[in-house]
Amino acid sequence: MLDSLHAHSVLLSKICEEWNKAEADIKLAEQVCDQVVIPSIMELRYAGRRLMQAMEKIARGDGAGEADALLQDACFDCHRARHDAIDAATAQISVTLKEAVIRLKHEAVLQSFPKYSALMHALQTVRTNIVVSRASQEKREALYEVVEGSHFPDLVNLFREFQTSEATMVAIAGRQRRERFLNRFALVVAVIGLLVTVYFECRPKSDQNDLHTTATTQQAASTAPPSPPLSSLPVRPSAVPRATTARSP
Amino acid sequence: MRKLLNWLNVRDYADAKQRSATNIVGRYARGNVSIQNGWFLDRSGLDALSASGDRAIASLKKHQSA
Repeated sequence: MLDSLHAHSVLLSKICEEWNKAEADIKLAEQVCDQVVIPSIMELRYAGRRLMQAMEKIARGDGAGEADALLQDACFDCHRARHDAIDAATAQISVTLKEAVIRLKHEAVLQSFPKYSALMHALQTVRTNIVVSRASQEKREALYEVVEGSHFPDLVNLFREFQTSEATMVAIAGRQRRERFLNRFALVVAVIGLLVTVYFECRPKSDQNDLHTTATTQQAASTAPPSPPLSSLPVRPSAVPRATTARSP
Repeated sequence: MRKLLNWLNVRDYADAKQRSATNIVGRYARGNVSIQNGWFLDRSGLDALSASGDRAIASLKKHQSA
């Protein structure tokens, strides 16, 4: 079996090297968002399965060609894991920046993270390389190696700084939203007050007359002499109870 | 009202980021239908699952010893 393994040693060392690169990329992508590395981990899982199948073929000593094909598949899965980690992390960074600008507004973002343009530039560089790599399959590996070497770690470092400033951004945006809400509320109240005033000033004359009549009646009722107190009213003699006199025995 | 409160507390930003992460995972999970449909555990989900597993094992041990 050792001889058979030795025959595949070049491919095995290549898989080991690719696997290590994939682990490094996954670790970097995990710093962006822990969810986005799931596809890469799945690819490594498939690579592990292919590797086990190849080992089983080599151990049995039959199907050297099949084992070679399985090892090639495992190597390709490692490639895909690396690429997925970079692509998914870059996509997540892009979407996060877009949401931050749309929802928190430029003012809050720039106020708490002045390196925003540098981050955008780093993102554009990585994405441009990814687009070029999609166009030419021959250069894909070389381009991804360049991205892995410097562009992607720089991008992740800048994005980590952005993440540390996110709490400040959210606080500023929250304050701005509350102020905007109160301003709009005050504006709505002012407009309603203005409309009510305009309605009462410009309504038809008949309504005003009715109101005037009602007001006059109410005023007359209020200016009428007040009723005298009950004690000052004249009392009928029959209504007064007769005083009882004590009889002498 | 709830939407307004979410907007005032800027919770919509965190929700949008969460949605986008789920979309990206689904997009890159080639061939895996469960992940494409959003059936996967993130770190907090794994922590919760691990904690519930610990509780279940402790409960089993307690019943076993009794």
